[in-house]
Amino acid sequence: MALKYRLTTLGWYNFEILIQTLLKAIVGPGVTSFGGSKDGGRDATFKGEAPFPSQKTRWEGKWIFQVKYSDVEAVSESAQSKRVLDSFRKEINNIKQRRRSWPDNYILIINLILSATLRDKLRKEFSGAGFRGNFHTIDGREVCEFLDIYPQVRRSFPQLIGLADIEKIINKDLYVRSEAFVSDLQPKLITFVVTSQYFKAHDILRKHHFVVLDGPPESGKSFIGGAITLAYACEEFEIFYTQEPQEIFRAYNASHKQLYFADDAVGTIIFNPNLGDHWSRELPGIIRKLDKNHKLIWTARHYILQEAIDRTKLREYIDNFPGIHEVLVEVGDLTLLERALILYNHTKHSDLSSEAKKIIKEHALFISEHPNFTPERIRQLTKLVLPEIKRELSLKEKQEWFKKIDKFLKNPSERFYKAYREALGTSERAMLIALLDLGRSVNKDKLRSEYERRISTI
Amino acid sequence: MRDEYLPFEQCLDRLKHSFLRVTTHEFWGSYIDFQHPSLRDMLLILLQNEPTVRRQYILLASPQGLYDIIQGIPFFGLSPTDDVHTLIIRDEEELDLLCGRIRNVITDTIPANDQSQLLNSAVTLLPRKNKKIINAADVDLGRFLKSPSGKVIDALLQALANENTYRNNLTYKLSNWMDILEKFYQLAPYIVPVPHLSYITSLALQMRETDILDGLRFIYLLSVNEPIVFKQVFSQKLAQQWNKSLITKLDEYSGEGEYLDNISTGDKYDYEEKYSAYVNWKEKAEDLLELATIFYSFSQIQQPDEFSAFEDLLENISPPQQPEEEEEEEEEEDTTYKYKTDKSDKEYWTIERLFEDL
Repeated sequence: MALKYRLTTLGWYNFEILIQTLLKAIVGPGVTSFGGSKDGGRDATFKGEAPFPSQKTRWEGKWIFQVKYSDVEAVSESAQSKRVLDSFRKEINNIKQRRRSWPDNYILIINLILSATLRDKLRKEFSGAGFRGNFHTIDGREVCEFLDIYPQVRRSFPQLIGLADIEKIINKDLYVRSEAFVSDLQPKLITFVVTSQYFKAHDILRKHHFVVLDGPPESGKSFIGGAITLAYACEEFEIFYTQEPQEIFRAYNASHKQLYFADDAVGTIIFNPNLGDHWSRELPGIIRKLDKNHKLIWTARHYILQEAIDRTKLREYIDNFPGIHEVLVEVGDLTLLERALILYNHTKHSDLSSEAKKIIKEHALFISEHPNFTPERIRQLTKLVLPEIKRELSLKEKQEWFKKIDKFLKNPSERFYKAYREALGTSERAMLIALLDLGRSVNKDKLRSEYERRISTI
Repeated sequence: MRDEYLPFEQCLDRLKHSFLRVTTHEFWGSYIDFQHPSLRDMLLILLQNEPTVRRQYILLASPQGLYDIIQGIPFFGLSPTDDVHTLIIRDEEELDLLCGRIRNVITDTIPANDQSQLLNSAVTLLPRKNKKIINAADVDLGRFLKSPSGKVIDALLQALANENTYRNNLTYKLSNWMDILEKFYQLAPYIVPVPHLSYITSLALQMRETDILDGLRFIYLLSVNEPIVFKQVFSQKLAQQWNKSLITKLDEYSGEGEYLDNISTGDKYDYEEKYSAYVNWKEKAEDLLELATIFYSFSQIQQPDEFSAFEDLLENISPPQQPEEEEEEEEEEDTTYKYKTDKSDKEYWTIERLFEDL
């Protein structure tokens, strides 16, 4: 039976963080972080009374929480049970050696589904080791239940949500309506890393119902906007991916929950005066319609937003309500850990060979610290560059690959130029040029006629 | 040679993985984009060193493509920078190609909106000081005409003024032409000799058949920019006919306004709806009042009573009353979901450990 949320795709770092966040919500803010205990063990602790295992039955005293993460979903049940039991026995021995006294409550949390038999075996193992206090296991299914109870925690991990889950989470009609956008976005979310800017944008959207994600190219504005959108989809919001403000008026329904996502609202590559004018004319009317059930997300490249503000009446609007500084989130700066997690997620969820993954592991710090690091470059590195590694490499080849990675990060366009010149034929080039000519989000039929016009003329 | 080209779908399939992405909307159909906007930037940089492809790009540019290239005209002759994300015209030869393409596109059959957009992009080329457009009289027009911006505007206006533009676009409504003409008359003073619309009299004759408000706007535009044509087409008979229609319009708008002034509002959403109706009405009513004022000033017809009644209403009408503000549920401050890593976490989660399970 599959889990409602994709716990096995999180990676062990994020699963630990997820459990820590949930425990703070369920047990109380006093739960220490994993590794926060003085004895150096990898467990979280708590002291006192808490509404656990239920609101009615409250346990008290010293608590220990331990997390086990396994990313193998497809393994057989018996192999899984053996793996869990082995690792559990090891853990008990560790606790015996490290701690002077047993805790009053021991909670084991795991991302997989535990059978009743396995739960029983675990309990027996524990009492067999001399443990006399309360023992409880929380398996993947229960973690998913907690995620339903605490949507604010779920919102922090949009990468958990699978396409099939969305059908279970949201109303079927809404799903059909938002399907196109969600199905395009969702597979990419598996690599998403929640950053401080993601939380800031969430806060602003909750408070002002409108947020502007601004930043340089390749900084991940659209991705953050999309992740927030998906989090709202799970709270039964209809999603409207929009380009023109008039579309919002057409889609607006006072009695429905709706989120409008205007990606590159005032131009993708250069400022589009028409779009700028439309938005500056309609934004006050749209803002009047925004409330806790109607939200608007904008993304814009920094220089385009600046130009839009300079050249349209947006400035008049922005100077009044709610104030650009209040709704603006500047996307760009990432901490080293955030960069490393982006690299980790792209690598983990790629089809790279084990040799290619090894190269990334060896140079993870170098790549994460690279001055030219952007999320988009990492996507290209793992999707387009490193798949070339298919067999074991010699030391010399490894050194060459290190140089190649550095070269790619410094100048990713070099690779694109090579592909354009050497791998693409005249038809593909003509299509790319046709798209360049027609601008952003080009209707398929329009691209078809432009492509055919070009190839019949050239 | 044409046999070498791939059918559209096959070509799209080949590019889907690395270069393009297709998004399908239930309502709006399938849309195609570059995998990432940076790929578009790269393609532009690549074009800098491909003179043949550049030539072709200019010669085959669609109205949208021309619009983008015109936006880059202020950077004529410069190398592409991080701030310019369109094809930059490199030299006089390319500029001539561009002007030729503009002439072809404008005089051909194209949607009115594209025509308007191209003129919009030309407005961005007018000389400015502190971001404000300088009046034509304060510009050295001879010199401006020799500049790339002047040449592009000249090509655009000469093409627009050509009889073929009218003949090939007979489906445009007068309201479409209004948008186009407003831009034309804004740009025309910067070109010497001033371009003249060869078909303006034909357009003026369409005015008699059109909606009164479009007709009024058009006649006003004529009175300001084409006084001779105005004298030729604006007869007393037409003035009387329009006066009658205008009185009916003023009555109709007054009725709507009085209704909006007296309705009560229910809950928040009811209020929103009525407020929108009020805003729409006010915008239209102000527009009507402005047109009526202009009409009575140049038609030598005395303002009717309906005019002053309408003026009074517009001055005194108040927006729908907002219902008592329901205490909007203050959303709880989320304190749990923003996870924080503490010092021991940071010490434990080294980059090496993070990648250990790969």
